[in-house]
Amino acid sequence: MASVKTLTVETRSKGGTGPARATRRSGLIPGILYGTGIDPLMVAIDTKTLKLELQDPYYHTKLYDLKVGSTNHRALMRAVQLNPVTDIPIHVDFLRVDPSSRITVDILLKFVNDDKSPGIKRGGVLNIVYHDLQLSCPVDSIPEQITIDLSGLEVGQSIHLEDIKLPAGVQVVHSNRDYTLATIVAPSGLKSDSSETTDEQNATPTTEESK
Amino acid sequence: MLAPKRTKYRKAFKGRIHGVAKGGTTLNFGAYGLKAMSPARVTARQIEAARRAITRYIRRSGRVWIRIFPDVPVSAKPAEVRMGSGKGSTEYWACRVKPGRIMFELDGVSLEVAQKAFELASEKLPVESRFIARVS
Repeated sequence: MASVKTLTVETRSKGGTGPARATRRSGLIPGILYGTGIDPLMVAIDTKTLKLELQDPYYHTKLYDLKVGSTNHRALMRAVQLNPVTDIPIHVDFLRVDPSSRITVDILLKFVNDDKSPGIKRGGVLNIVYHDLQLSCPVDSIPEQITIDLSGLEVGQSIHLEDIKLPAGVQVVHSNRDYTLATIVAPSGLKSDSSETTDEQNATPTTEESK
Repeated sequence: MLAPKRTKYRKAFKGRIHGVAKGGTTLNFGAYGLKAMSPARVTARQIEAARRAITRYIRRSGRVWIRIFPDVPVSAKPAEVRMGSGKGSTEYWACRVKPGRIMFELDGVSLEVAQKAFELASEKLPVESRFIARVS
């Protein structure tokens, strides 16, 4: 099991927009702690501490010991709301977990050995379809990341869910679907080397709708 | 240039841009993005100019995603025409961009290249923008 980090949080008495804003003005981020059948607890966490935690890409799979007064709660950072413009956290959800239970979490996919892929060496681009994967795993052994080896992949080849090996006890939530996790796509230059002069006209933009 | 294939109505009201973006505020495709920090109407020409600036700088490596689409027809009257006699014809297409909206995404290039490419692209756009990167 990965190391458990201790965070000190305060309780807050009032919910709603006004008190939440007052909490933010006092240098804290409002949050809530819920789960395991115990009543939800409104908390507030220091802004600096939370921002530092959010720098870690694995923050949502890390276990935290939340120190609320004299009691400790083992929890996961389930959701973080960010200001859409400034990306400053405005609210955080902590999910209390039972160490002996299973949980569904989004685990980051780490693509390695891209320098050993002939397709990428030739100028292909790794097109990541899924940056994370929804997995069901025991709380005491949440994997930090799933490593995917890209060595030997050519342009046009892709990696599917069935190609990856998951750690013991870890299951894919939607295993009935055949996910394409990533593909190696050709850049416009590799597709048509002869039409170099007109590459700007040829390079079709990828809009959100055409994904 | 980007434009809708067909529309339900030929002309639209001018409209105003209020508030901040409700969706499209996080990176969905690439590792780097260009986020709008102010509201503006971005035209199809501006989107195309920014896209060209990016693709030119990254030299056809990497991959670019455009997260905005010009779906608002902007009309104009011809020169030296008296007022009245109806609304002018569609002159260009634009997109209403609210603060917080990710306009472009980029992947397959280094951080420095992405920063410079987006710096060049932001020069072509009428909005204040900022570079964002995926935490990894």
